[in-house]
This record gives sequence, structure tokens and C-alpha cells, in this order.
Amino acid sequence: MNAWRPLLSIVLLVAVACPTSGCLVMGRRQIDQPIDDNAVAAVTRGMSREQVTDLLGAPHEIIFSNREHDPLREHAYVYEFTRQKATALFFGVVNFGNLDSKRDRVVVFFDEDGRVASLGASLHGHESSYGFPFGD
Amino acid sequence: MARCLGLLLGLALAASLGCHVDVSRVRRGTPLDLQAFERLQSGRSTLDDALAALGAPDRLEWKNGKDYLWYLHEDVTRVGIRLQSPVSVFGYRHTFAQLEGDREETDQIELVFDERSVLERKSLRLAPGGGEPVEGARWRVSITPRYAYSPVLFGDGGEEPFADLFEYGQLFGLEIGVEPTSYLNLSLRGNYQVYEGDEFRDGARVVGLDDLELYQVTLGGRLIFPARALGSLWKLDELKDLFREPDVVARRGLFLSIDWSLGATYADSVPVSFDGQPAAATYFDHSLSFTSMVGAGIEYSLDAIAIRADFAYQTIDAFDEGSADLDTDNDGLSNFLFGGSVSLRF
Repeated sequence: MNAWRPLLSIVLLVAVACPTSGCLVMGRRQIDQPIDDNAVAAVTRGMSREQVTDLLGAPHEIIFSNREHDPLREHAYVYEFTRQKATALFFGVVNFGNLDSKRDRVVVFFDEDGRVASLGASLHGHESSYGFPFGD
Repeated sequence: MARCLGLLLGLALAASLGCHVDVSRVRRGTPLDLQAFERLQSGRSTLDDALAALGAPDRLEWKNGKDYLWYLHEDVTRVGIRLQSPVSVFGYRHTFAQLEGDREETDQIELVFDERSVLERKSLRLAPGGGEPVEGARWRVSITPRYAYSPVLFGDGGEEPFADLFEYGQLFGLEIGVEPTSYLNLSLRGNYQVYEGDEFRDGARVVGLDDLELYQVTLGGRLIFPARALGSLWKLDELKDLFREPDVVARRGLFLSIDWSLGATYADSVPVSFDGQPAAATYFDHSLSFTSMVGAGIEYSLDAIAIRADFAYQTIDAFDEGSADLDTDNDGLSNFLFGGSVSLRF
């Protein structure tokens, strides 16, 4: 049932909007490229920066060392993909808008030798959905 | 009740004057996993433990050998009131005034790791009502029997206005709806309407009409606002609490509603009589017409039961002309309906 809810919601939204003088607006926006979960799974501790970029591509952001007496060093690579879905319902007097923004985000930490020390991944970009401004 | 009626009339007046209320919400990120946060222990948990439990941080800084990680979930509610010209000039409506308020809330977790990547400290800050999503939100099904009374009809009925062709009318209806959120009901509606036939004079003869019977099937929607929402428009905390109510069955109190429906009306033929003698002719032939209805109401909801009083304005496209030797070319019927209903939700 959960898998069908977004589709059912859209059908019902259209059904609501059609008989009214109002209208339904839906929009989708993607920022950057989706992150391949297989590539993320292939990143292992001890890999070099080059091996990481071979798998995941160029990082979205680099976190640098900023210790007072350290040489400049790349501490972590950040990969990010954002998907936003917007829904607006115009009922004339009362109008509703909703924007759901979710991200794929991967952070790869490197040790002082430039090898992968840790990896954190949150792949939620595909979870963004159209909907109402109600609920959690 | 008088206050709610005032609010309802105020809403209708505001609508006619070009007033609009905009409610919008922006959510960024996923709700924080508070249980995973609780499992992390200062002095024991490592960076790997945190990344495995909470995923990639939304913000990351490295200062003097320490890793600072933030996990964020943003929730912004915005309410605006626009006063626009009720007159449209080539589709453009001038905005006279616009009032806006918004509230941006962020649930956040901060984790600090020392140079050995061991958790040095952790902290949590939740917005009011924030945190993990409320479980148990579910769609509801509603069954709503409805009755309405129409004291007067409008429109050109051919020989006479509809108001002179038929007397009062009654509606008996049944709605079967679904409620995907606490504040929206979408329904399939079936109605039977009957309007008592009247008499009119056509020259020297008296023409009598049989009752007008209508059978309708429509698709409709009802937007339901807590009455207190109007008073809470600038109290964004309270407004967000209304949004968070996940289950319609937990809904209690006074609500205002806006209704609309669209569908088809089958009109049975209307036999005619002359000077009291039934004739083998009809004033209207049986026909299928397009119909729409808009309305507003006041509802008192008590868990799974809601009692509603409402009014609606109905329009039905022209009926087919009958076989009687009369001018039966009509423009369609419109009328006000005042009624009530009881909804049962499952």
C-alpha cells in the first residue's frame, strides 16, 4: 500500500483539482547527479583518494585540514545529490503549498596518509514526494 | 456557534473581496533518528559508529583535529494573507496588501569527535513538536448520509421561472469518501432530489406540472479547517500542531468546511396536466445534464462521528424540452440547498 500511496495521492489530487476553479501545480527539481549506491558500497577502508574519485567522481565539496601548524590536507570528500518535489493546490480562497527536499549525501574521511578512514552515506534523494503540507 | 457562523460569513465575504490565504510548508532532510542518537556514548562511540547509525552528516567541519558533525532536519511553515482586486483585468489582479509570517524550525544533532575519532560530546536540539515522525497516520473511509432543503429555485424554466414551476425541493444523498489527511475528504456522492410541481396559467388554461425528480452522481471534495485555525493564522506553533494531527479519528471540536462537487444529473421526465386533466405530454423530457455544486459548512467532530450543517449553491445545465405545446426552452436550474449530514469514519 505504501508504494502506491504517492501515485494514488496524485490521482486524487487531480480528481480534487479538476472539479474546481482552482488548479494543481506539481514541480520537480534535481541538483547534481544521483549517487550510485553500488559505487558507495565499493568504497572500502584504505583506498586512496584516486580510487575514491574513480568510483564516485569529483567531490561536491572538500573539507580541508585547518590545524594551525598542519600542512594543507584534504580531510574529507563530500558527495551530494538533491531532489525536490513541490506541490501547490489552489482552492481560490485558501491555497496550499508543499516542498519536500531530500538528499543523497556521502562523506568519505581520509587519514593523514590520504587513505579512506571512514565513510558515511545517507541516500534519501529518492524519498522526496509530492503531497500536502500536513503531517510529519 | 454564532462565532463560527460569523467566521464563515466572513470567509465568504473575504472571498468575494479578493482575499486569499496561503499556507505553505518546506521540509528539508529526513527526520532525525533519536534512538540512534541515544545509543551513541561519549568516550566510547567512534566516528564509524556514528556514521553507521546516523549516516552522512548534513554539515561537517574539522577544527584543530576535531571533527564536528551536524545532522539537520528543517521544517518551515509560512502563512500569508493577500488582499487582491476582485476584478481581473486581462487575468491580472492587483495586490493591495500582503501580510506574511513564517517560522523556520530545525531539529539538530551535533557530534564532536576528538583526534582519535572517539565521540567527545553530543548534543541535541529539537523544535517544539519536532523529532521522529508520528506513527499511525492512516487513510480513513467515511460514509455520510445527507439531507438538504431548497426553499427557492432560480433560472428561466421556459414558460415561467423555475421558482414558479416548482415549489420547495428536498435532497437525500449518500457520500462515500476517503480522507488521506485530517483535513481533506474526497468522495463519490449519490443524490436523489425532488421538487414539488406547481401550477401556472397559460392563457385561459391552468397548467400543472408533476414533480421534478433528479438523480445525481458526482465526485466531490471537502476541505475541513479547524475553526480555531482562523484565529491561529499568526500563531504558527498552533498551526503546525494542526498539520501534525495524523489521524482524522483523533479530530475533535468545531470545524469549518468548503465543499465542491462535479458530476452528472439524470432528470426524469415531467408530465404535464391541463386544467387538472393529465395529458400525454411532458414539460421536460428525461435528460442527462452537467451539474456542479459549491458550499460551506460548520462541523462538530467527535472522534469517528461528525455532525455537519451546511449550505450549497447548485447549478444544473438545461433540461431537454418536453412534448407539450408550451415554451419549455429553459436555461438550467440553480438553487440554494440548506442541510445537514452525519459522517461516520472508519
